[in-house]
Order: sequence, then structure tokens, then C-alpha cells
Amino acid sequence: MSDLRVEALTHVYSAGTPFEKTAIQDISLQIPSGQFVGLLGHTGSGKSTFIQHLNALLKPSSGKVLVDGEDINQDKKTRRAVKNKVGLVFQYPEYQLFEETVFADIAFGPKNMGLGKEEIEQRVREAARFVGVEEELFQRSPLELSGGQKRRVAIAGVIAMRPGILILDEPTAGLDPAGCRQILENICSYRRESGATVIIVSHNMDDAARLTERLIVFNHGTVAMDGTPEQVFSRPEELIKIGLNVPQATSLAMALREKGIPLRGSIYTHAQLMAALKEVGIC
Amino acid sequence: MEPIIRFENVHFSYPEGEREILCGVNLEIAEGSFVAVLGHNGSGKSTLFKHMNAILLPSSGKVWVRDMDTADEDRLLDIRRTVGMVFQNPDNQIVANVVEDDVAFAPENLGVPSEEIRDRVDAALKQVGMYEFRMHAPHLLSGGQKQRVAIAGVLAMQPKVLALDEPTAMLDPQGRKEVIDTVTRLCREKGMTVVLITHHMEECVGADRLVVMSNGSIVADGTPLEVFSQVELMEREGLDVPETTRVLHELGLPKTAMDPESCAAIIASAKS
Repeated sequence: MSDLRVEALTHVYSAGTPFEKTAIQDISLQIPSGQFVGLLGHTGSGKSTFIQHLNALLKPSSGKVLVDGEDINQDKKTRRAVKNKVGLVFQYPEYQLFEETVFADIAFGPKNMGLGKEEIEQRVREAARFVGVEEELFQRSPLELSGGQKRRVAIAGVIAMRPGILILDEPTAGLDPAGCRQILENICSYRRESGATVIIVSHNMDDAARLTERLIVFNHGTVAMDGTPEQVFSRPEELIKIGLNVPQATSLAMALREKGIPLRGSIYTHAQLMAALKEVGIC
Repeated sequence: MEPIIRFENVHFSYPEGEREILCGVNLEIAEGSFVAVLGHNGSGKSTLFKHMNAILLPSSGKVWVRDMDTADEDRLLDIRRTVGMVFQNPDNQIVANVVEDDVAFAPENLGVPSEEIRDRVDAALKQVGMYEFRMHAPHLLSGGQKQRVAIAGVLAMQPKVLALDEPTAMLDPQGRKEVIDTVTRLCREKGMTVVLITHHMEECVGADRLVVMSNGSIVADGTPLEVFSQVELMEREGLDVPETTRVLHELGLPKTAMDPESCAAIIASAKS
């Protein structure tokens, strides 16, 4: 459980060269402890640059990142310490598996934190349980597993560090619908049981709408929208203008309203759409 | 019309594997059609794909490409010229440092005369909308652009069938749309036969035909509208259906449309 504050964060790549590019500009926001946040935005909107600042992988060109009130870029020590507090799961994390066994791979993070053998073992078991990796797999090579299993092992490796803030960059990319559902359930159960703050980057509007409490929409390196899914999806025209999709239920609700059916409220899930249809006597 | 690819009771299992991966598949793919194959991981859809140009051969049964038996080694080159393949990861399919060199790779290897290569490369790049990037370095392109270059590389072989195995799995929504729009256009305007393997239901909506695979067998086959209308079957298979279809299904209305506008019209007329 950790809270996060970002103050006037700006990042410029290749500053002072002809390739200079401002990736994010003057971003200020606060994420309270335990919140489940979705980051939306199309490729190149600055999402990935942003999340890489949250555990000091990138240093701000200007501005600050504070975790639990402490500036993470104060010195080498804080930059190192934040890596244990803020766990970052990259896109296609299964490409980063490298140990000889599943157990060793999940244990890599806790081992580097300097924990004792017993503590490491306990954390590996716990993390494996969160992501649904059976203990029978512990001695197998991670490279023998299926794509979905590999992905879950990679996520377990980050969870085993018990980060207070867990950030996942498109954790379901490339998985089939069943694999997607499972990973998302794993993340939800980790959040429920640990109370961690979870930030998830997603291109899937239906997942984002269904799971998160807050959506932050990036566009051209700035925050274009920030609010509950209800608030964000009540402005579907703006999302479409930014080049994002809206949940399928939202597009159908928009089409129904255009046909003169007076659906009330913000509609972004199937259940909401059915309830709104019932309200106007269609069911 | 004669089918361009025909599966005849195809069974497949790996020599050491106990499980059968394809369990008696019969499938005919009509020339010039756009066929989508949907199924979750392990359903056998990628194995089906690899049978289309003899990357894998049936354990029993036959796969025909035109009049060629894919098990006939003497026809291997002709089979692979007829059915061009595009895979999931664009980075694994690009070999050269310049876009047009990459597209020229296959025709060069086929021994096509160099002036004809020039024409084929230009034509292929124009067909996928990447001509203006012909002198670019592939690694600086977006995922969708790279995948379109990979498609151009296949088109330069002038195949009759373009088969794609989850070509959008690693792409963002924009890249996904670029790839699907490109293959749809190739089918509609150039008469290319397209076989698209995917697990994204929204990519199947524009196909002529949708085949659903599960546990090595075909469990549904029809137009996308017909297949998605079988909501219970799709749910049982762990596959999604469009929200529009789901709503019509739950309201007990005829499932005759998938786009939001037509679907809204059906609901509106049912109300009044």
C-alpha cells in the first residue's frame, strides 16, 4: 500500500539534439493508496514514458515523483529503494524469463532484495498462488510453459517483491479471451488481498470500464481526461476524437439515443445497458 | 467454384504426443473468399494454419492446395508459392535493413528477373499502403506498419492465398485496424483469398465466413452473423460475441445485424 504523487512531470527525449521530443509535459496527479487505475491512450501518447518514471527507470527532465511522500529521485539510494516499492510489469514480460526453473525466476526479485531463504520461499509460494501457477511447475524450465503460463510466472516475479504499487503495461496483450480473463482475475485478487495500488495500461476499453475505479486518458503527452469510468465514458465523443474506442455498450447506447430512445445515465457495461433498456420499457 | 484449399478428414498429432490436435477436419476454402478462423489457444487453429502450405503434414487425411497434395514433396515449392503465410510477430519476419529490400527477399530467392522484382516490390508496397516508406528502416516503423511490410513481402511472391496467423496479436488498436483493413481490401479489390486466424471476435465481423475451432474440431461454420447468433455455443467455447448480438439475444429480438446503428434500429422498431 503506497500512494503516489506526480508534480509537473515533464520528459524530453534526446534533449538538445535534432531528435528532441517532448514525450510527456507538465503532468500533475495524485493516486491514493489502494486505488485501481486504468491508463488509456493510443500508442505514442506518453503512457509508457509516464509509467517508467514511477519507479525511477526514467529520470524526469523536470518535475517530481513522490512515493509515500518521498521524492524518489533524491539520490541513488531512493532510486534503488523505489524499485522494491513500485513493481513494474512490462509488455510481454515472458520475454524476460531467464532462470533455469520457474521457482528461481519468481525468486529473483526477493533474492535481490536481500531477503532470507525462508522468506523468499514463502513469497514465491504466495506469488505463485496469486497468479494460479501450480507448485508442480516450480522445478520446470519457464521456457517449457505455454504463453499464458509464462506470462503469469513473469507477473509472479514482480508480485513476489510485494510492491505497494503494481503497474502493468498491457498485461493481456496477445492472450486469448480465456487467458485475458484469468490474468485480470489474478490481478484483482492480488489487489484485494494485498491492498496494493494497481495501475494498468490497457487498450481494451471494455476491461478498463469493468475493472477500474479511475481512468486517466493520455493524449499528446498530457492528461486529456481523468475521472471515474462513469465520468470518462459519459464523454464518448471526446474519446473518439482522441482516436480511442469506447466500450461496445457505449457505442450501442449512443446509437439507441440517436434513434430517439432516451437511455439515462452513463453506460459503459453490458449490465448498465440492459438496466437502462429496462428503465425505458424494453426488455 | 473449385475450392483453393481443401481439408479431407485431417487428423494430426505430434509423433511423441498422445493428444490429437486435429480430429478429423473437413474444410473447403473458396477462391477469393475471406475466411476467419476463431478459437482459443490450444483449439488447433494454428495447427490448421500450418497445414495450409505444408509446414505440417496430416497424420491421416489429405490437404489439397488446388490439385496439389501437400504431402507431395515434388510440389512443395508450388504449394508455398500459392499459399503465402504471415505470422504473429512482425519482428521475426523482417530480414532486411530497408523496407524494399525486405519485400524483394522472396522474389529474389525465387529467381525472379530483377526488373520484374522492381515491379513486384512496388506493386506489393502500394497494395499495403507502404510505398512511401520503401526506403525506411523497418525497425523504426510501428507494429502495424511492420506487419503490412511483412504482408507486402508475401504479396511479392504473388500467391493466390494469403494466410495469416494472429497477425494483430501484438499490435495496438490502430495497427490492428491497418492490418485488417489491408487484408479486407486485398480480398475485395484484388480477389485474394484470405484466411485469417484470430482470437479477436471483432476482426471476424467483416469476413465472408467464420469458422470456430475447439479441441481440434470445427464447432461452428457460417457467416459471422450466423455464427455469432449462436450465443450459447460461443459462451461455452469461452469466446466473445459482439455486444450488439448479445443485447439482441437477451431481448429475444432477431439477431440480423451486428453494427450498432442497425441493431439500434431493430430495438427501436421493437419498442414502437
